[in-house]
Amino acid sequence: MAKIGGKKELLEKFVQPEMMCCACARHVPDEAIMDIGVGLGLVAANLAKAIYAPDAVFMYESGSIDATVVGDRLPEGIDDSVIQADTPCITDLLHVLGWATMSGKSTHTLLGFAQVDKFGNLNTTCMGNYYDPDIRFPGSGGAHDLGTGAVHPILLGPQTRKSMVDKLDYKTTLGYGEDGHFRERMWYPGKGPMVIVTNLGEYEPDPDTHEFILTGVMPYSTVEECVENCSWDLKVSPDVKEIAPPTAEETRMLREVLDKEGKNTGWTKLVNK
Amino acid sequence: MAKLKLMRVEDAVKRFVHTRTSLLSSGFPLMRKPQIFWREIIRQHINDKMDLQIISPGVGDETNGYMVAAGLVESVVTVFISQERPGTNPSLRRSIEKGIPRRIRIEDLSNLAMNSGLLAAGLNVPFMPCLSGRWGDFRKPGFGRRFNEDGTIPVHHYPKEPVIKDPFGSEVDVALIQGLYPDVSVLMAQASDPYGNALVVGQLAYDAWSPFAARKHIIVVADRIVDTAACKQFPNLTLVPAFAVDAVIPWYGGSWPCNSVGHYAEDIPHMNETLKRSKTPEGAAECIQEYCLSYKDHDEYMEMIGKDNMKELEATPTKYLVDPFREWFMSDSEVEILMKQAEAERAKAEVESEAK
Repeated sequence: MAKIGGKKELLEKFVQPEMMCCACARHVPDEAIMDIGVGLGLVAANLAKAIYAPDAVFMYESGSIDATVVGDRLPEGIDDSVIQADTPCITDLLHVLGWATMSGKSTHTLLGFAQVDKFGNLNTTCMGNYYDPDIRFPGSGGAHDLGTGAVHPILLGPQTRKSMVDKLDYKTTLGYGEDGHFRERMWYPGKGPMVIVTNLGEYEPDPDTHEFILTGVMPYSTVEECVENCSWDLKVSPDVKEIAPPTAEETRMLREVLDKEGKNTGWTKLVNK
Repeated sequence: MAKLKLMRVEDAVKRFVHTRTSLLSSGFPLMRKPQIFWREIIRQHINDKMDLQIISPGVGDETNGYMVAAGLVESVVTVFISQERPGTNPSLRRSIEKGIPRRIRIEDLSNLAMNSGLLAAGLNVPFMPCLSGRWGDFRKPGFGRRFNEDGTIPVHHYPKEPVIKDPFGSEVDVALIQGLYPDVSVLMAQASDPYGNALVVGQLAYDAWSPFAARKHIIVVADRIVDTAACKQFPNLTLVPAFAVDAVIPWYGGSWPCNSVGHYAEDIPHMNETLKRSKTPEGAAECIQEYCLSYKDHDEYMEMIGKDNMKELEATPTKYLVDPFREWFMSDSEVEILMKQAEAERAKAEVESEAK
């Protein structure tokens, strides 16, 4: 296998969350109808719409559909007033999550995680015993529903041995189930996650087993680093590729338009060194 | 003849909130939450053992956090304990992780499952089928009865989200979400007439159904009181009909620091500040003193928010959403006249009722 990645010097030009946003955005097709949450996924979704998917329709589960963000900041939440000021359709959660998502009309979504296992199942609820947890996370929100219904979820989150795990502390959101085949035993509108994007690499499901294997390495990371920072016995695709760094246009959009203050990606740390 | 429902917030809390009341809040983490009602609960009961239950899609907002920090809450039924990008509420985490000041019980649902449970309650059926909830740890046993007959707390025992096959033969499996029945549902509305026809604009989130899940009382907190003509002009925007409402609390700014689109935006700096200060119990206690116990009346409440701050929040691009109703806004003095009339009518009815 040719040596890929390993260009640590690139981290003087951009920060890892910027790379994750770009990698996620490149997966969003122009015809996407997307359920949108908050956090880095929101930035990635807006980057996608700005460059790769201008005709994508965003749905916020609290009710705004196809909203244009008004003002010069991204929403702080899916119920932020900046996405209620210029939108042709405002409805309720039952319509967005109950109807659109469960009837297969939501083609994509972006889901963050605290933990992910090898079949793309997610934990955003707690570490430790649920009834007496060591750490309590925010909870599902709509994540469980989006994982259930959105046709092609894109998962994004940090990669460490504690986050890419054999066994989740709490099973919040369905990927492909404990054995990789749960969706085949019960009818689901969603097909299962299409990709996991972490700060170190990209992972796609094996078409037969649905086990996520390494298919892409961030330009500053290496195959070895991805394998070391995963608790399950990570398989590597023979065609694993190096992910291209942020383009000039992606960087401009992130730093000058979407995340000017770096609240979401932290890019200003590079400037403030 | 329609009954006037105007009620002062302190009176509404006295009448409708008691030990072990379960309370459902409208809104979402940044949006249209009746914060003034929770502040009043804290004002009246800060030293009481209330064992309240909060049912809310997001319990991570400022005042729910204060209620937990003040030890007023026994349990929450929720989907999210974060205030979205501002962050997870430290008071909720401290209670759940460390039992400080007391360990609240928490039952997690997903957004669709919880909304389905409220829909079931609104439709007066015991459960609602749902495609969510068929996999995962939401199916860990839940609360069941909140309290045993003798007042002790039962251990988690009842199955959540059982899965059945479609009895009509489609072979589709569905989870059953039990009906979620709060005692009292509190709706924050941009406007209401004095009889309880509550107008809501902007995102609805759960609120197409959340008021109707209430087992006992629906309360409306309204930024503005309008003439009923406003409701008749836009009857599709009247979310709750007057006959179902027990009280209308007029309080402009009642959702702060959450938004009430059309009136004011979300106060993110305030949310950031109070979340940061609430990282310690002492900081949370100071915030409770400053933001729940310090104001005497609405004028002082608005000073607490800050006049310049409120002006900035009111310069929201959503302002136009309330423009159609402005001609029907009642003035404070008109509302006060009707409030006194409502109070007199209630007092008379109570005397007549006692005499019977």
